[in-house]
Amino acid sequence: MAVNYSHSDFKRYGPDRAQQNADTIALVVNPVKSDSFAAFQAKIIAQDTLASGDWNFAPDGEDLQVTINGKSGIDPSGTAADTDDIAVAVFDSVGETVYLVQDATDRNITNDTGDTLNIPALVFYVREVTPVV
Amino acid sequence: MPQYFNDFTQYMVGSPPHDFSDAYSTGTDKQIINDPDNTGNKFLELTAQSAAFDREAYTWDAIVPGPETTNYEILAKFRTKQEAVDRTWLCGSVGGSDGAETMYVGAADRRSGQSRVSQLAKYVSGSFTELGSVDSPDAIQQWKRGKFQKTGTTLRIKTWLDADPEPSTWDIELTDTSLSSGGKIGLAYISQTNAGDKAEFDFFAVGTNGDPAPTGPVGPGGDEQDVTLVSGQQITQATAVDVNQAAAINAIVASQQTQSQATPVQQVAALSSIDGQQATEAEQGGVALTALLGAVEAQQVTQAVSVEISTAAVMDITAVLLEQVTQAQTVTVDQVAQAAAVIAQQLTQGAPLSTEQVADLATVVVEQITQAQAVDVSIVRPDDLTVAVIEQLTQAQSIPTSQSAKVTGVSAESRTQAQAAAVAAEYSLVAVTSEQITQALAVEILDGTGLNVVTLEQATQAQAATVTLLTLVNGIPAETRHEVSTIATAATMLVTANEAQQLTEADIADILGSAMQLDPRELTITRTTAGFHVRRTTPTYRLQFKHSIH
Repeated sequence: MAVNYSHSDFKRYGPDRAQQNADTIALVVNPVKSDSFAAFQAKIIAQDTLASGDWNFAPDGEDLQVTINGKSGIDPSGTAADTDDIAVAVFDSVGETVYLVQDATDRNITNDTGDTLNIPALVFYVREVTPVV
Repeated sequence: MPQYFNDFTQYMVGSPPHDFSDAYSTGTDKQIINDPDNTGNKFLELTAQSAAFDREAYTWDAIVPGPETTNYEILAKFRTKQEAVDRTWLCGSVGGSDGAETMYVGAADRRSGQSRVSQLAKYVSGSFTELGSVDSPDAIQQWKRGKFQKTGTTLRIKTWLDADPEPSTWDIELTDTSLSSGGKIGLAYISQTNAGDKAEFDFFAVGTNGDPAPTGPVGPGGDEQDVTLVSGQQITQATAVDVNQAAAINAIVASQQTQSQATPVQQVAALSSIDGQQATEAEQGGVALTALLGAVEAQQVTQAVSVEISTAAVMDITAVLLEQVTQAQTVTVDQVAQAAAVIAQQLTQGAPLSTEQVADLATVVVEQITQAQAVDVSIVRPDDLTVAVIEQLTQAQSIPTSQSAKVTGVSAESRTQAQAAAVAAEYSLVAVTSEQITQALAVEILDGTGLNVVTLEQATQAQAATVTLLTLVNGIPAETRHEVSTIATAATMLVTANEAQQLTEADIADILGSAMQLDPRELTITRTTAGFHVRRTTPTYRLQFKHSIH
């Protein structure tokens, strides 16, 4: 099941709020939006630090394209089977706020000695407003 | 560990490797040979014990069979030592037992006739099937590399000379669904030429779980794993399209379901259109509507068993179009709402065509019913039927049209074998035209209201043309009545015209006399408050004898 969701603060205050507060990008297994932060943390199998400089903004027509840098060579702390639903998450570990979760292609993840993980860049759009008729 | 690499360096020279096993009875001897020119300074030698073909799989015990070995990539560097009818196998999904062998075989080197080939094959409970074969380098005693991959149901193999770079394309790539669970992984050498024929393996490498086969020892560097993000879905093999909606649906498009079993659409809200195209083998196309349906199109349903459209609500259906239903058994349209048009075209083998309407029906068009048994248009409510057109009914049995409402026109054209054309109108009938009824038995018009024109043309074999007028008849032209048996006109009738006030009694007498082929002087016309009264009188002649005097 595909899972893509964002925090209400992200919707209300925009990507700038996440840029200023998010400090971690992670790979999580079977995340659910209703998870408590503790439950979410227990599902992390790999993570790396995220800085405000990892965020990039560029106009795309009338929309705003947001790019969060990927991370490579991460040492996984857990594993996943190809039947698990894995996703990339951006969150604030201090404020305990999960800002963004984006679905990833499910695959086996191992954490044997020497195994590493690469997380690609996240790209999404803040679209021009459209009225509801 | 998902990746394995074996250059045989860890084994004792002169003995077989201690952690390999024969999955089935073997026909080869195995031993480790020391050679400083080989990877790890050693290689694995397999020697045929006889010239008999013996199914083999020499599997590596370090690779534990299970979910991790469902998908794999096997890479081996090998060579055969002589020209022989022999095979060098890379074996995956290995299971079963003697006589009931189960495995996928990637034959990296196989003698087939005078050629060397790469081959993909399978054993399923002892039954062999070749899946594919293609020529490969024929180079005895030269080192070759073979790579055999299984990813899901896709099998791939390629073979190339060790001195050459690895090709970017596979020799063979195909799909097979026979073996899906993880089994053992190994290798084999089989010769059918001479006992003592040999093959050598420099190294044997395996990647499992989607990892590639390593080309060298898997050291402490570990596996590099890439995460990819999901950006879209392509559902190409949908088996069913089931739409249950309780809200507004603008459009439902089921396209290219060339083998769909069922396409049910149930709606309790407004549906603008349903488009079922190319349902060439649809078993059933059912649309149950309780709300607005703009249009229902079932096109190219060449083998539909039934096309049923049932609407139980009083909503507007603007069009129901059934085209090219060349083998439809039944076409049923039950409407209790306002149907603007019902068009059933090209029903070349339709049995019945029934249209029951209790609301306004503007048009009923039945075209090209070359073998229709019956065309029944029954309207039981006094709503406006403007046109009922029946064309090209070359073998129609009957065309009854019963109306209790206004019928402005009834046209039966080209009915060369119509049995009967009956029009019973209790209201104003503007025109009744029967053309080219060369074999019509009867043309009967019962009209109790204003009938402007009754035209009988080319009724060359009409048995009888009966016009019974009880009310106002403006004109009764009867042309070309060469063989009409009788033209009976009721004697007691009121004759008026739109310009009745401008006609004199003598004018009326002239008109009727011409029409009835009577001497106008035989008609007595009396003007009444309602019009004119006509009475035929026997002329009284006064005979006057001429008196003569002798």
